[in-house]
Amino acid sequence: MNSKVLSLVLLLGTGLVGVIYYLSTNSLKSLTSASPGEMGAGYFPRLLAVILIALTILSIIQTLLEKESEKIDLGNWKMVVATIILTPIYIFLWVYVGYFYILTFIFLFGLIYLYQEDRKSKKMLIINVITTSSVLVAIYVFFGVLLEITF
Amino acid sequence: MSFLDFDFTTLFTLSNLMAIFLGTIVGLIIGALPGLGATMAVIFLLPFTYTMDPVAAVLLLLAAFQAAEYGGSISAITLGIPGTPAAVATAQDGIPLARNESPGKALGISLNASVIGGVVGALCLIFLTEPFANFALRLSDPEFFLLGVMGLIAVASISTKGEMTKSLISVVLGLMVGTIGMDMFTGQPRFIMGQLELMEGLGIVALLVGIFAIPEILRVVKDDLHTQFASQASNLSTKLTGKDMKRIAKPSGVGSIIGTISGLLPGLGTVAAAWFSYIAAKKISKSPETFGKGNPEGIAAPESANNASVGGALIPLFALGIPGSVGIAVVMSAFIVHGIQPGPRIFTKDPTLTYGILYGFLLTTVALYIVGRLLTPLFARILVVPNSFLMPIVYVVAIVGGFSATSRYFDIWLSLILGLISLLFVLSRFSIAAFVMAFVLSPVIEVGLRRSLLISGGSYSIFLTRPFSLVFLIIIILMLMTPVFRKMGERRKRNKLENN
Repeated sequence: MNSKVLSLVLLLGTGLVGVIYYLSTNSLKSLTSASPGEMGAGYFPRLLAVILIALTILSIIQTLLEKESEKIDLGNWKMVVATIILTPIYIFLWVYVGYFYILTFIFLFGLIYLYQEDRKSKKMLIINVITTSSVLVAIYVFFGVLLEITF
Repeated sequence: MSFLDFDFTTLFTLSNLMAIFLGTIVGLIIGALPGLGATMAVIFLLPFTYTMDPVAAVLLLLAAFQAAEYGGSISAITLGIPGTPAAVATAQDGIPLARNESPGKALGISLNASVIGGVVGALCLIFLTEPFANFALRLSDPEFFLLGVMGLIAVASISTKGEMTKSLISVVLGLMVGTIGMDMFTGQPRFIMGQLELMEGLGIVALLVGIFAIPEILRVVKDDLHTQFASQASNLSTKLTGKDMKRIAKPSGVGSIIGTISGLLPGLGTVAAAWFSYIAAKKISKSPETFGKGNPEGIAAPESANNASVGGALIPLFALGIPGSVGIAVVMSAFIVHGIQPGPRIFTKDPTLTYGILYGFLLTTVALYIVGRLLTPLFARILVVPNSFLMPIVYVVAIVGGFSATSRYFDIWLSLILGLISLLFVLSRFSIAAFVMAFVLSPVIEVGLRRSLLISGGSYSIFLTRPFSLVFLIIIILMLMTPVFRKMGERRKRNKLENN
């Protein structure tokens, strides 16, 4: 991916956020009637929105004027994408199905398995099971018992 | 109550001491792991502080921060890969010394220098914070507003090289996110999008996990998942001779002073402190030609500096309510979680808590020395754990930690969404550090601005008519102009070279 394209996409998104944020301040009062000079809840956000939009425009111009554009090193992008896809599934199941410890075991085991170069190695699978189980015990002790968190 | 009237029995409680030692151990481990660093160590422990006593909670985080700064040198020396950005300076002489003599000696120098730096930083914190706070009591809302802005611009100008506008955008985004929730003046809900969970603002732990931890872990997965580390696992005794100690005394002293001053100035942080002191130590050394070839002074100076800068960065937090670095901004969030507002009035409002933390910070250096001496060899061996195992564990624990702070499922989704957005922003060189600083400082800045305008009847002239405000305003303008001056200078140099 090209750094210039990514920058422009993000800056346009940021600019859009700035506009939406500005429009949202319409429902907030900028000044209060209580005393002169007392700024309402919308005053500071409106100021920020204007600054953000101005800076975004400036940054878009700077990006467009850039002569060089680097290629972004995506490295191990398949693993990143797999993690990004698996995480919401894990969270969704945790929130709506429950069984936190079982799900977390599967999720952690799955991630470690996925990240290995040699997935067929029996030794790796055994280490993975031991590691995942140990982490789950640690989570249970620290969060479940000591902090009394109910998952 | 003065600092001499403090009742030390309130500090030496089991919970405080346990917090200090636990924080030190976790900080050492996380700091030593390449790619994680001191801020991650603090974020990692933040969820645990919710149920703790405020003094123990803050000491846990400070102990972790302090220890992580030393931990970074363990991987720099034994693996050749700095665990924290500040340890890059340490690696210059740490790696050659470990190869030519012994890793243990290099680690011993690093540990002793870190402790010296930590002690100097802590003493400055104890003795300088109150006078600074007394001075700060002469300041009012316009000055606090401008100090907050100054801190943000300092972080923005340093955190992303050559991308000042993007860093400023990060600052504004952080301030905007900080406005989500109930307005402090009118009680009106702002930008909560119908989510009652947002009435108290975004959960700080969820936010930090989202914007710091998740992108950082995904970055390691992207770039360093299968990096093989080979640790030098022998000769790891950190014992030093009297001669060694004598040799590192001077550079450690210099590093400690530079570190404390760098910490005091918002935005400079541990990396700048480490490099400034490395350069200074080289200049005052009797054998500057051996720097980069395993000179112990080249390890002592940056290591003492990065630990001293932690204490230095705490001074503006206590005296002004402005954190000196992004790591300290995360520590500040622990104050906020416990309903404590750092700033000059904290000494009169909550003296036991304040002095407890100041003296407790000195104890964190003692803990660092004890744990460092005993466990450094063990940590050096832990480092060979491959990232393909380590990153999934850190990822899962970060998500669970983000949830445990508030037990709200909403926060897990929030972390995930923020994490994915932040990853793109990191790839595009926006500044996450500037965003976090702005988010934490958002209430200080907004309250400062609105109260100032209330005093002046809505006129911005209040920032020009007060002497301190005017000075701060001039500094801000100079800070904003610095990149322009730098570019002009570079252009002039280039033109000169072309003409020659």
